[in-house]
Amino acid sequence: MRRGRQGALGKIAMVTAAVAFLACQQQTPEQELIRKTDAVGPWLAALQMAGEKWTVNSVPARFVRTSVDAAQKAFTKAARETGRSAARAGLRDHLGRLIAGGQAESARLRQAVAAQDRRAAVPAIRALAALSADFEALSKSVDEPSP
Amino acid sequence: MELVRDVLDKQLVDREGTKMGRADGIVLEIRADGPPRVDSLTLGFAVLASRLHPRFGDWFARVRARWSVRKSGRYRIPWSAVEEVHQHHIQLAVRAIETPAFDWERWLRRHVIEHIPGSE
Amino acid sequence: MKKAMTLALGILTSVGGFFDVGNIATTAQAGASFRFQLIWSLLLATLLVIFLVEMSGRFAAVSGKALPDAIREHFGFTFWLVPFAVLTLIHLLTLGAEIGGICFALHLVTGIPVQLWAPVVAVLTWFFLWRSTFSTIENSTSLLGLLTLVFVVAALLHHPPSGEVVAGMLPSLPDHDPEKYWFIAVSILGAVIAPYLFYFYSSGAVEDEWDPSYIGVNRVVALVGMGFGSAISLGAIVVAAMVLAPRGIEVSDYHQAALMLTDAFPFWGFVLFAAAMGIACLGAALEVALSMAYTTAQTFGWNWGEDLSPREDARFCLVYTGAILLSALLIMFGVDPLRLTLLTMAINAAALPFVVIPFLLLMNDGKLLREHRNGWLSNAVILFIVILSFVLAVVSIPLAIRGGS
Repeated sequence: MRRGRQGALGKIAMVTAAVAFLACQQQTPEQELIRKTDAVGPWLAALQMAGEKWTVNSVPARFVRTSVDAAQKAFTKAARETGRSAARAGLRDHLGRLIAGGQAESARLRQAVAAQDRRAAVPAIRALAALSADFEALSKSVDEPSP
Repeated sequence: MELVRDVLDKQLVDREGTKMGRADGIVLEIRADGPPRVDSLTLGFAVLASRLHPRFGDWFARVRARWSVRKSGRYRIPWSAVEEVHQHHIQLAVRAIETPAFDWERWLRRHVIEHIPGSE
Repeated sequence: MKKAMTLALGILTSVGGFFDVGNIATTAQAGASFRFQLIWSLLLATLLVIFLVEMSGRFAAVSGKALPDAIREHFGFTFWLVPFAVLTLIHLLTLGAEIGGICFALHLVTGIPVQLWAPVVAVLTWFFLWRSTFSTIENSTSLLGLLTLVFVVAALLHHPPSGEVVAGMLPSLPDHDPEKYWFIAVSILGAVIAPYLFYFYSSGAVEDEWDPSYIGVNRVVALVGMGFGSAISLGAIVVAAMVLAPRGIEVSDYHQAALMLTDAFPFWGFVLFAAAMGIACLGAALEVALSMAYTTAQTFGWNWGEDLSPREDARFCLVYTGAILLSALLIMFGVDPLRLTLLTMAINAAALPFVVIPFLLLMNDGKLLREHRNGWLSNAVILFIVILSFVLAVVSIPLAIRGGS
């Protein structure tokens, strides 16, 4: 009796999983690329916030440093995915530029923080904010493709 | 008393109240002149393994023969040592520390635990 | 008088002990990615955990037995083997996640990499268990755990839109990333209804020598303790929704979550987050390691108890020592703590039927529990939520793994 019920549940679950799996298969290469690089935007925003908080003494410098290190790993991975993707060239180039910008600006932020140089940190934080907004707009445009 | 319901898998407690394992198995003696009689309780990983499948039991016995500190894989407690079967445990008239059931416990105590400060 | 103490202490420790690495990770993600929309899963999970903890305490008070002990005695070794194996896996993964959480908290404060902290944390956790009695561990870490109430304070300071919070209490479909939405919902269920929790609770009640006169105390502790405990998780969702979500910060790494409290407490927020996380995870790590040792010792009928000296239960000590070692290795070898946590929480949800159904059968045994056995309402509530969690988990885990989140 119990085994029967679990068996039925298992079947329902398997069918649901299979349907969901098939539904996912129908992603365009562009959507797939955006999904695989979706860590980039949040990291840009997080580094911006970490930088801002550092300038008002809310977080220690080493936190910004280790955050940048963790973000760099995510950027590298996203860059690799972008290089490998079959998405249209325009999107890949745009995304590649964004990621490269993130890598450069976060390195700049890290340096400024290590040197306790608030004035040098501000432009890096501003640049990260711009990149973050740009990334959000880009992923929106792929989610709702214009006809 | 029903053996499987009331005896099998029950906690065994020694004379001093120490928990000394569970009734992993029951050995019955088949007699020509009467109904079968409980001969002893057995305990040990080998007994458990053979309960899952006899082949596991054999395999386990081979592994055990090479590695274990215990001298025999199955420790038998004669039914005569059973004092009383309670609702949640079986009271035995032995001292756990003197039986093979505590081979591992004794070995660990002597070779590991006592060498670490603060074990008292 | 003793009952009043038990009651007060029980409520405080359940509140302080509620929040752990799984709650931090899942609530931060939920708030950051879906604002208030996943509050319903927290409420559903809280409802079930109240029922399960109440049952577990009632069972121990009436029968004087902890769950692993009773299930093997009642249903036999072969039946118990599957839940036992599932519990062992869950204990090891959860312990790894909690150790990862402590290491990350220390990493926040010192900047020293998480992996390097793992051996230190393992020794520290082990030493606590080696030297302390059950009540010291339970009471000290859980009382310190009340520090996690900062999430509630921070949530109130942010003045969240109450209409949206209330709307989030009812389930709704997401307007973006459905795979992520369902995976986080499942992880919240698994984090709050951690199977180790109610197995551990029954062993704790046996250690505290509860008898049937504790049934009333137990009911209040389960209801109030778990209820207020989940307020901390609710607080964390709200804070993440107010601080992280508007900035577009989704949580794919603990560093991102660490910023949560800095808006509410500009100066202390960062340290408070690290302290709350470190203490909550340490308390949970101790409980999980103990729970693993209880479960194993009871399965094989060894002597067990945290109040005995290690000499008297050598094998019991060996189990928690080994468990801590194995789990710390996961972190030492570079498994990402947040990923480990999320995966473990989802597995928790998937494992629920295996660990809850034997328990439920036991709770309906009239010979064992007499007039204290379960009523139809608790049976129905539990079965419904357990089956729901299981189905959601089985569907969403493969999707999440495929999605790479």
